[in-house]
Amino acid sequence: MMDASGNRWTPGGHGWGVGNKSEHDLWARSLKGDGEAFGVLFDRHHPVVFRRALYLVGERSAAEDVVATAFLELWRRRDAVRVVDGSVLAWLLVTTTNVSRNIRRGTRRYRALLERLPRLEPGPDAAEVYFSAGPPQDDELVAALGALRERDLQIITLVVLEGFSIADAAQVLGLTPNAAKVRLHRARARLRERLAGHPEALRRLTSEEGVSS
Amino acid sequence: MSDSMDPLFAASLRQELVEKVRTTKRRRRGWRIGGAMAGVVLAGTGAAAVATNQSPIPGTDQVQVVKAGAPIDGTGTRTVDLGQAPKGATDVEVVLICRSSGPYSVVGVFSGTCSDVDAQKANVVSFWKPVRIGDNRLTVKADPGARWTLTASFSKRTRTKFGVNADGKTFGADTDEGTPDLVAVDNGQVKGYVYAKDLEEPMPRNPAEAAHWNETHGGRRVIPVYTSDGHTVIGHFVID
Repeated sequence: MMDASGNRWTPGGHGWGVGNKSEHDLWARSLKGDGEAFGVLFDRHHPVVFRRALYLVGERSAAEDVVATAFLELWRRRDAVRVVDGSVLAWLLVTTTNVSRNIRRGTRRYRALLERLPRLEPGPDAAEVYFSAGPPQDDELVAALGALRERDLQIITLVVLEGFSIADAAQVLGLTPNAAKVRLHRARARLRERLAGHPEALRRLTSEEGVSS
Repeated sequence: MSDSMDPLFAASLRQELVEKVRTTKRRRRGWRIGGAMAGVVLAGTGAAAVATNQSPIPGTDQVQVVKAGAPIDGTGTRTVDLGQAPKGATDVEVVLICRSSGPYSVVGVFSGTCSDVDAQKANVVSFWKPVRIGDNRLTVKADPGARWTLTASFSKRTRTKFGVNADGKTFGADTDEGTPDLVAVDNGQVKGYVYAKDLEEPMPRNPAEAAHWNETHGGRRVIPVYTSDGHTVIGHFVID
């Protein structure tokens, strides 16, 4: 898929180099009031943000609300956004974990807007609690993630589930790389502890960890 | 079963975001507008157009009021009819004074929060709205009983050109139409110009460099502020 600047991109891709130059420009243009540039950022990142939200809240319309809130917050808090490697994705993912933790509180500010946006398939669908597509999910893993403290979930999301480097995660979370490393180590230990009785969920998590070092 | 967003929801959300970014661009000091104010205040990004009696910062708009509006006092949510735009008017400058604290919005152009202090001091926010044929109404949304005053003036805005100094460097405001070599800044203590290249955050080239910068700079940078000649230093800006 091509974005407006003609650069090839991959959802969730965050390698170093020229790839993010275009995003740096998109963000700079957005800050100057270029709505379409922000629209391209939305096109670029909403699939990854949606997938992550779905993983955390397990229900489609709620995940859509989380995505909307994350992007609205990206704009509302634009002066405080930490841009990592020219990209706002890491910041969006941290916001996504925060909003997902308490969706009612997190989306309250935008409730009127969220209710106004039309949907083809309105309303939460109880049958769609879990999805076959996207990352593998099971009760134990979703429950274990849900039981993590917010700051642990943030770093697990960035490094373990999305494959950001520790340095990138540290930057967006406002930590030194060493502090991030320690936090990640502890968060992983807590997650493993919670999954101790569920070897299958642990195996799935470990296979996802293959993307990180 | 689906692993992607409802396409209608996604398309509507995208449209909403594009419009939000487009219409909330122009900000000035005043109430808290959707969160923190920028660490660096770039002078003349739209707001400078308010200063009709001063020569504008190069690159900003020269504003000529075509028809000054009369203050309209309102309560709660109300739609105001501005009447037909006079000939030559390109934009409407809307000034909103909050007289009660609480959330306020003007549909399509502004949303913000008025604090108790803002209400006591009758602080204002102002913003611009392009004149559009058939679109001459403004809806203010506020809590029931919240008191406000709105003034809408029709104006003609004309974009001025960047200045050029003796070195051939352009200077002026950073606008949506371009960035000069020297960008006008104003942090309330010093008014001058900073080099656009200094303002741009240098990007680390690899994770190790990013980690090093994070540790050594702590995210803060200090850049010099010059007069428009680009040589005379008159102060410094701290960028957090």
